[in-house]
Formats: sequence, C-alpha cells, structure tokens
Amino acid sequence: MDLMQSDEQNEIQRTVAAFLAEKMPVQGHGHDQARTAPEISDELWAACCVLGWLGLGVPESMGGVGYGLTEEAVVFREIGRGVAPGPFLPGVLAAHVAAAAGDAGLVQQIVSGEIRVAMATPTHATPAAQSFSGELSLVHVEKATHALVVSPEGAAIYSMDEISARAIDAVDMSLSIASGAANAAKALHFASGDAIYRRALVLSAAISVGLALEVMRTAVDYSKVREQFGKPIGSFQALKNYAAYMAARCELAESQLFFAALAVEGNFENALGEALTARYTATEAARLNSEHAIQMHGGYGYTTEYMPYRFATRAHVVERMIAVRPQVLDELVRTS
Amino acid sequence: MNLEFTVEEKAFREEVRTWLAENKPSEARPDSDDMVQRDFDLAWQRKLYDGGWAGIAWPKAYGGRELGNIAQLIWHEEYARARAPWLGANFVGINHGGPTLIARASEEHKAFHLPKILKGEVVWCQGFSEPGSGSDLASLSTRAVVDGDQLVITGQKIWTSFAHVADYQELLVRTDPNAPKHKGISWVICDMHLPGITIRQIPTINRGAEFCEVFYDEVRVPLSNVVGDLNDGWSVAMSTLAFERGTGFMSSIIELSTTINELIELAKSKKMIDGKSKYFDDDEYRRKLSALKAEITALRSATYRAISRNMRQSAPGPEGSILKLMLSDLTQKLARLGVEILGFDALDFAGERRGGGVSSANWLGSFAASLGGGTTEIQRNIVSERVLGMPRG
Repeated sequence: MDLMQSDEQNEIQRTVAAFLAEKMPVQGHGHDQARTAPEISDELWAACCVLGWLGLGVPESMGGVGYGLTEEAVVFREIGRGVAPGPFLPGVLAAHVAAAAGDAGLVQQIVSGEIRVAMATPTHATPAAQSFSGELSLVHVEKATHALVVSPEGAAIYSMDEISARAIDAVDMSLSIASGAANAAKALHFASGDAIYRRALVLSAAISVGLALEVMRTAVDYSKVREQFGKPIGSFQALKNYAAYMAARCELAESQLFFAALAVEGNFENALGEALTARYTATEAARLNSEHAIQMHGGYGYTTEYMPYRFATRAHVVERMIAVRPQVLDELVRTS
Repeated sequence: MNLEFTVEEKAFREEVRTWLAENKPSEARPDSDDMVQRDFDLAWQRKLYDGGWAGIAWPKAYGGRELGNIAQLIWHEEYARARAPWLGANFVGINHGGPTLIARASEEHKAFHLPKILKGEVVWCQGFSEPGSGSDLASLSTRAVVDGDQLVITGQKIWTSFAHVADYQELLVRTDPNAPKHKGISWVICDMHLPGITIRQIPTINRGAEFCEVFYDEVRVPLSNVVGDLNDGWSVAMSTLAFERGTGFMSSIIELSTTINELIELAKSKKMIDGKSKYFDDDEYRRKLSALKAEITALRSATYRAISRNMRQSAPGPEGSILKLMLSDLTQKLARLGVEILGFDALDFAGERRGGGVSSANWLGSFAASLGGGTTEIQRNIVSERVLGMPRG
C-alpha cells in the first residue's frame, strides 16, 4: 500500500504543469465580459495532443501510451490547477470508448486532435444507449464533431450531426457551452456497463482537486502579502480558519482521488463507491475553496482582475458534468 | 502508488482477526464502579500482553511488538471491525507515558515502568493541563522546588482522566519560574499514592466519571524521577507528538466508518414522524447520510496517505493535524445526525446502545472530540501556520 506518487508520476506532473504554465497561464478576463476568443486555438490543441495527453491511459495496442488511470488523474489534476480550456475530459473518455470497441482508427483521430468530442450530460439522467433521445447539456462544444454521453448504464459516442445544439452564454467565459437535444441519435459506439462512468467520476474529481488546490494557493499567498491593521491578513484567526479547512478538504479529496483511481484500476469490489466518493469530496472541495478564496481576497475577489472567480466558475461547470450532486449522493449511499 | 497488501500483510491480517475473534471480551466494558472498570481495562491489557499484542508500536527491545505503519493500520482496522474494547485506563500508559519513557527516560526507569504498563499492572494518567493553562500549556504554574534529592510539588492539574484509579502520572511542573515559559518546565514521574495528593472527580456531560482534578500540597517526589534534564520537560513532553500526528487516531477514524454504516442501517428501518416513511427514503436525510459517509471514507484515504507519507520521512509532519481536525468534526457531525434520526428515542440517555454507536450518550460524548488532545482551534492554527505557512498572529 502506497498512496504517494512515484518518481515517474512526479515527472508526468511536472511536464504537464510546466507546459500549461507557459502556454496557457491562468488569466483574468478584465473588461472582456463576453467570450470572443476560441476556447482553445488549433495550435495549442494540437500541441497538447502531440504530448500524448489524450491517449495517456489508452493501451499501446490501440495507439495509446499505455499508462493507467492513476497517471491520467495526475494529468487532469494539473488541467484543473491550470483551469485549462479544451475538451480533454470528453476526449480521453471517448478514446477509451473507441478503444473498448476496437476502433483504432477513431482512437487515432481523437488522440491526435483531428476530431474533437464534446461532453454531453443528459439533463434528466437519461442513460446512454444505442439510440439516444433526450435533452443534453454540452460542454467543450466548440468545433466538436462528436459528443460523448456517460452514464452508470454505459457510455456512447454520437455524431454532433444528430444533436441540435444552441450555444449559451457560458457561466465560465473560457468554455464553450450549449444546450442541446437528440431524437433517436444512433451511437457510433456504445460501451455497456459502468467502466467509463467510474473513469469519468475519477477524472472529473481530478480536475476538481486541481481547482481546489490552486485556488487555495492563490488565497493563502494573497493573505500573506495583503496587510490591514498593520499586519498581513493571514495572521488573523478568522482567515486561518478558512484556510485550515481548505487544506483539509484538499488533503481528503486528493487522498480519496488516488484511492479511487487505484480501486477502479484494480477493479476492487467497491470501486464505484470509491469513485463516487472521490467525485463528491472533490467537487465540494473545489466549490467551497473557491467561495472562501473570493472572501479572503476581499473586494478584489469580486473582480475579474483577480483569479478566484476563474476557479469558482470552473468548479461550477465541473459539478454539472456527467452527473449532478444529488445523483452522486443517491448512488453513493447505496454502495457498500 | 498501489493499494495492494503483501502476502505477509494479508497473513498478518488473518492472524489479528483470528486472535481478536477468540480473545476479545464477550461482555461490554462496565460503566458502573470505577475499580470494576479499572480491573476490566487491566485484565484486557494483560490478555493483549499474553497474546503478544501489548504495545504494538513500542520497540521490541522494550517488550513491544514494533509493528510497522501498515501493520499498525491493519491492527487498528481489525480492532475496530471486531469492536474490541476501548483501551480506557490503559490509554495514557500505552500511548503517551510509555512512549515518552522509551524516548527519554533512563534505563533504570524504563526497566521498572515499561513492563508494568505492558502487562496491565499499573494505570498511568497525564498531569499536563491546569485551570489557567489549557491551549497555552507552557504557561503552567504548578511549582516544584528542589529540596536536596527531592522535588516539592504544590499546585493543581485538571482534565486528568483516570487520576482516581491511577498509580503513576506523567506530570509537568515549573522548576524555574524565572526562565522563559518553555525553558523552566520539568517532566516528572509522580506516584499517585503519595501523601499530599488529593483527587476530585469532575462529572461530565456524558455521565462519565473518569475526569478528575488533582491537587498537590507539598508532594515530595525523588529528584531522580525527573525524565530528561531538569527544566527540559517541554521537549520531553513534545517527544510523543510524532505519535499523535502519525497513527494515533487511526482506530477512531476507522471506527467512524463502522458507525456511519450502522446509522445508515438504522435509517432504513426507523420511521419518520408520519409513522410510515423511513428516514432513508427521505431525500434530505439520505443525502446527509451519503455526504457524511463520503467524508468519512475520504478521511480513511487521508489516513492511508499519511501512513504512506510517514514511511518516507523520519518524523511525521504537521499534516497529521488535518486528520485530527477532521476526525473531530466528523465525529460530531455523525453523533448529531445520529440523534436526529433517533427521534424520540434520543430522549433516553443511552437507550439500548450503551457503550457506543448511536445514542444521546454518544452525542454528548462527542463534544470532547474538539476539546481533548489539542482543541480544534489549535489544530486549525497548526494547519494554517505549519502546513500552509501563514503568519503567526
């Protein structure tokens, strides 16, 4: 038993973090209150794909890198930390669906960045199926040719041609979001069972853990330099209380994330329960930590010139991808 | 990273499980007479000793089992699962006084005291807090004056669990009132049967009787009972901090998982005020239970990670305070939700669930979780200052 990262996992983390910090640093929107730029440029998306991020956990025989879910979680935690745009999550999950179906060609198209996949979450918990009818919430929809639906019953890839999508004014200005609907959309591939669902829970949890960790860092750093009453505000116990719980949430959620990743990878008896627990504790950590970070920044936290809102709005979106809070809790309490 | 246990570790788990199943007392820990309770605790300690399970974390050189971190985890997991008895009066000797002696005492003291603790022959208690020195422990003022080869002690200690049935005490006294507060304290072994010691039990809100205050009126202790150097008692007292931040709370954390599952089962059968629907079928209660289960499970994972971290460093870091902080919070949340689901049964102090589980007695007892062993406020300071590097106030 060992829940600490290996040297190799540390190296993966460093590489991803360095790339994101250089190419996509976390920025505020300032006066630019509506999304105009693309979610992610073709060049940047291609560069990330060249680094192998999308095929990291896909078996080598199917054109992937052959690492496991744990390494994928390490990457997605960095994507969260960097509040990175781009359809990474649906891309990785869709690559696994294609790989499970033995469609090496589609895997190749996805991991090379040639096609983009949107994350489609049924708004009324309609399960993924060979034929899908229902309303959808679509995230990372820009330039997507395909959409992925993941549910406990199975996961399916659909063509965007079969989904009517209407772009909405995304709450997270760095993302492209649409509301959509499908009427008897036919799945290109359908993977039955909860394998993709478990992976999706763990990887979305990884994003949330990254958000929780980084927003805590910004708030704590700020509290060390911002002075009031002649001393740093971080020396006041009221702020320390917020910060101590931020750290506690991060520690619990991050530990649970890797416990769940290993349990899912090893197909443990209660793997689903562990994955749901990771998802719940991570989304709570991301939400509560970003709320407290806004408060710790005072008036600056209310502006788009400081960063806490970037984490708060992203946490808000991730909490509504794949499944929502009451669904997660209702499933969790029924696991052993 | 991996979650696998080795063949040896699995075999060890089997060994522990079998031994506990065959040896744990069939009757519950008595809650009546103080001496009956003491006898029960000591008899269980003797049984652990005979089975080779006394002092699982102690070095072999001093009669302990010297289990590694993972084996300790396995022990505590099985102990909680078997619902084996709380250490009770043995707690301080095994988990605090004994380890401090091992770390800092002379060979003579070790040879005399350690076997008695392991065999369940004596009870130790802790004399640290005072009426005027709680979180600010180093401000303690119980005086000890050197008189020839003796220390003459006068003052008062408080929150001393099991003082009324104890034989020895790990006692902090001020031996140099003129030195800075951390530099004038000594750590002394005090015989609790000495003349000049008066003990008063303090009744507690969960109807416990082990809480005491201790008065010292010119109590004479041999100077040779000072452990470590005179006036170096603060560092002696802190030498077991590693234990508390490491695996000290493991058993309580694991027990929470057992209790939340019990509560979920209770919620499936317990009827709400309408006399028909069950608590579990109510969205609000079911999700509260689920969220709490999630937090408790994540705390278990954090414990696993703390153990993994400890295996890579010589001394446990301040991250252990996160475990203590969350253990306190979750213990209280769980107890609170428990009495909510008990409904009118919560008007009965302990009901049929005396000795743990879900009860009003347990809810009242849970208030101790954020007070004992360093208050929650102090833990938050430790986390924010030593883990996150925020400035001291």
